[in-house]
Amino acid sequence: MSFIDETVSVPRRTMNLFFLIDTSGSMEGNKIGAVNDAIPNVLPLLKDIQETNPDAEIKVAALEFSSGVNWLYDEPKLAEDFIWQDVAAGGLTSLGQACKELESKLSMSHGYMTKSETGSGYYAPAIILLSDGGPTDDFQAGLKELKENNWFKKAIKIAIAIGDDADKDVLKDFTGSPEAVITVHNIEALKMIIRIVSVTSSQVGSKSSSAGDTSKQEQVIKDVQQAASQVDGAESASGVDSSKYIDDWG
Amino acid sequence: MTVQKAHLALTAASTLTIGDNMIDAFSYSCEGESHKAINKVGQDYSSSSIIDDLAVAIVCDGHGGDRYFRSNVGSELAVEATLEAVTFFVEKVGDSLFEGSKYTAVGPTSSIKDAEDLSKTDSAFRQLFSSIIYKWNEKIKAHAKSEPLTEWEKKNVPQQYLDEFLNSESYEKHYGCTLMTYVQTAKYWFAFHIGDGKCISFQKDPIWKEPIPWDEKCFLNETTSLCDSSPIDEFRYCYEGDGQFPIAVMLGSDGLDDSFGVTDKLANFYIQILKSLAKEGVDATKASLKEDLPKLSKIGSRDDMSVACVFDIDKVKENINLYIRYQIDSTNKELNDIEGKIDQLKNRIDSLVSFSDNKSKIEYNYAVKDLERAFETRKILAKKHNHLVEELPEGMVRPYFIEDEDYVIPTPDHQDIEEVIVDIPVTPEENSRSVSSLGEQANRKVASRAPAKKFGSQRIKRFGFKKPTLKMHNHKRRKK
Repeated sequence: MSFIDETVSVPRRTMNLFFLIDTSGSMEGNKIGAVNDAIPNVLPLLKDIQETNPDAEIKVAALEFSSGVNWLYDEPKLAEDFIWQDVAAGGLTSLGQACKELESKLSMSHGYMTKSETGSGYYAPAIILLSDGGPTDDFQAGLKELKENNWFKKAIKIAIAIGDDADKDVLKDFTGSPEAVITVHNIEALKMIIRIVSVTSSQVGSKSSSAGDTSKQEQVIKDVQQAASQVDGAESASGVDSSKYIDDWG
Repeated sequence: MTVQKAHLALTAASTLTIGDNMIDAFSYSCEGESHKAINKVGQDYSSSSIIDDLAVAIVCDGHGGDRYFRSNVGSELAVEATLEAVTFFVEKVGDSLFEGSKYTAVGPTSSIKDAEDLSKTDSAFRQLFSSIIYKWNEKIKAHAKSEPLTEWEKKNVPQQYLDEFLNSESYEKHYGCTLMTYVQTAKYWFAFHIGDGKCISFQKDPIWKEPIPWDEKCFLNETTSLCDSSPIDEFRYCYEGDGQFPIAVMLGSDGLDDSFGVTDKLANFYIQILKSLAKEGVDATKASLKEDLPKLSKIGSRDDMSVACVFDIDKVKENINLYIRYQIDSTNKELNDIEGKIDQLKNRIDSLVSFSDNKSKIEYNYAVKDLERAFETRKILAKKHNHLVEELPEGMVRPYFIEDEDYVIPTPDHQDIEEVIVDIPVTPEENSRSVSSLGEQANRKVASRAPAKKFGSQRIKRFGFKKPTLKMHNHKRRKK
């Protein structure tokens, strides 16, 4: 008898891609406009990645944070289904609260990825943080909680610092690596980096890896830095002190 | 003494009577699809043996990273070392150590700070693990000394790891692997594990369980290992000597459990194996495994796959209907969940239909799409349920019939809408009652813009996002 029949289901593994988007007042205007333009344009590319990879399905979730936090949808949606809803800027920068909210959704007991204690059924998530300022709440308390989370520990974490006013130290702390923070100085660079980071994280994140291989985070950083070096107005955070760019947000 | 090992090949299992029970064992390993793709040798190694009054099953999974380039050998040598150490352990201390012991499970012993906290049994297990680690280290050292780097290794392994190998007296990392073992004698059984993979035991109640405690350090592609700095503290184990035995114990490498996502799906797969053992015998089961595990690797984790099993064939046969019943109950639970979800989605659609803001429109579309998927899932589960029912004696469990749907997706009343046709195919396979009530036109596809009243389709209004064709299975049209 065959062991693989209608009584045995072999699901595709899921990779969740989280966007954490700063929608504080300072993002108003062209910055938030660029985010609203870039992410919907990335979604078809994620769908393509998913279609060419029979092992994985990619789901997308977006959390906006300003004076409070808000998920665009109650649960991650398949990349092919995800419909972007424009976000508006206004208010403070509750990044600490966003960390706590993300932690609750990454919880092994009641979050989005709870199938198995071993992590089976999922790839580590990819988390992309976009911010143009510094947190106005207790960021460290939120991040401390988040850093205890197993999924967060294994996640691909990339931050996009939008302009010189972004608190790079906070973003480095979030990603755990200065190389994982990409600073952008104009609208086109912001759009391009959102695209590069989203596509690279999804491509690398939705593939299997072995114990001892280069971590997915390292692989994404390497690929993103290489691509970012070709983008006018983008640079890794380590080069910020001697930035060759001046912010230009139209 | 007969020992059967399996490395990318089937074992020829022996049988043995322990007490009144006929105990048998088998194991099988296959190369993962991802390894085949890059012409890399499989790193799993499994073994099943019946040695006098001792049954042993072992699964080792060699690590896949570049640094662990001899882990395929490491896993084979770990099996050898374990068999030697376990045989000695059972011969010298087994009977007296476990006599009368209730089922006991112990997590990673790194949490035990003081040696005085260790029981006599715990201390004996530590000696066993110490012996395995020592023997494994001796074996890999001898192998490293006697086997120079191969041409493949020189060509494919990064130089830093080759240098490390050539300039070191310590080879654990290069041969690193996990280890999982189940041992059964006439009077007691025990099992131990370092690393990932899963050990599942089958009995009457609960139907299945993981007898060995899990180690939270094993998460995604991170695992504890024989090559860690203090592996002795990372073993976890369990034992029982009060005359109670599992009916079957399955050991599977992580390639197997990664394919199923949740452990009860893995247990479901193992029940398929038990059914095959009960109905078709050991040889046919092994032949099916040889055919199906590579297929599973291809559609599942793509990793190497190993399974090793010790089982009491008489008790497997005696309880097989219980296990099928468990599969049916699990499927029923899923069916109940999906029915609940369908109700929720209908309520959600109804609540969203009258709102005209953008977010409500999007949520409405999501709910419609999710409802379509829920219907499809229900159909698959019902088919699975009915397939399982047929495996039981007639009349024991009733088949699952999907009720005719009288729900019609409400039409939102908005200005900025476009029309799409919702196709509602209903086939005899899907629901015989629907077919009888709906007639021959049930399979008819209706072209876009066709009259809405044509049977088998429903015109609904959607918003300007996409134009997917929605297939609403088992829906009955409501007369307007």
